[in-house]
Amino acid sequence: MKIDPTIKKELRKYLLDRMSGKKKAKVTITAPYELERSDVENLKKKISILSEADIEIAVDKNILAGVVITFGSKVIDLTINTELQKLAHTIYETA
Amino acid sequence: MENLGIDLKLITAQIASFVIFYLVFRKFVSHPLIKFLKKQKEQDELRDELATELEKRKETLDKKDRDMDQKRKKEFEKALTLGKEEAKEHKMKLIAEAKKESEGIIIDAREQMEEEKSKMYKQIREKIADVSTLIVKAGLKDYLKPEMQKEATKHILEKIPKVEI
Repeated sequence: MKIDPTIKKELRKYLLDRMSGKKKAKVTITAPYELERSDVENLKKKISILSEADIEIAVDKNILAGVVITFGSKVIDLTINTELQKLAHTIYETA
Repeated sequence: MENLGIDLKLITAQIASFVIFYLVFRKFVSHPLIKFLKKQKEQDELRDELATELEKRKETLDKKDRDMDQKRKKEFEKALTLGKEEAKEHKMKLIAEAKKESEGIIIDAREQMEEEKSKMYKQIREKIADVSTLIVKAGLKDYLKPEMQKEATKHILEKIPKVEI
């Protein structure tokens, strides 16, 4: 099976970085606006992985308020949207 | 004898011829006739006996026929009664089965109706929840200005507990 040279290159780089311990975990923080440095610092204090990770800030206008922290396959959702969804779910269950 | 006009010779001859006639008659006519008549009588008697026996047999056969007829009639009546009873039993069984089946159908239909009802209620509840959430979302989207969004987000970030991952 022939592997795409670009993928091969990326994979090699990733594995080398991991073996040398250079590669940091990539974390994306999505908020309804561009987060300020103080907000990120505040988050770093609360969530330990953020202090050792490459942080990428993203903006999603659909978020009403709060943030979504994504690293790897894990997602920490701290938005009002999710709370509203939870509320709807509670209404399904209890009404 | 001669004076009386009787001829002894003639009488003797006549007696002799009579005896001869009698003997011939007896030998060739009377005896076979009697024998024939006797035979005829015997045949008649035999015929009578046979007729009587036939009559008796006929009576016996008639009686047997009547008995068999009666027996057949009785058996037919018995079979008819049995058949009627069986038919009645079968009819009752069929009615009971149909009743049971119809009751089952009614129960099933009721259950289905209840199920559909609760399904419908659930759908309505879900719709209400969805609509409510959408309204709240839309309202919040309109209401929350960028400053308010920032304030709310900051508030949320402050409230996050310390997590070790």
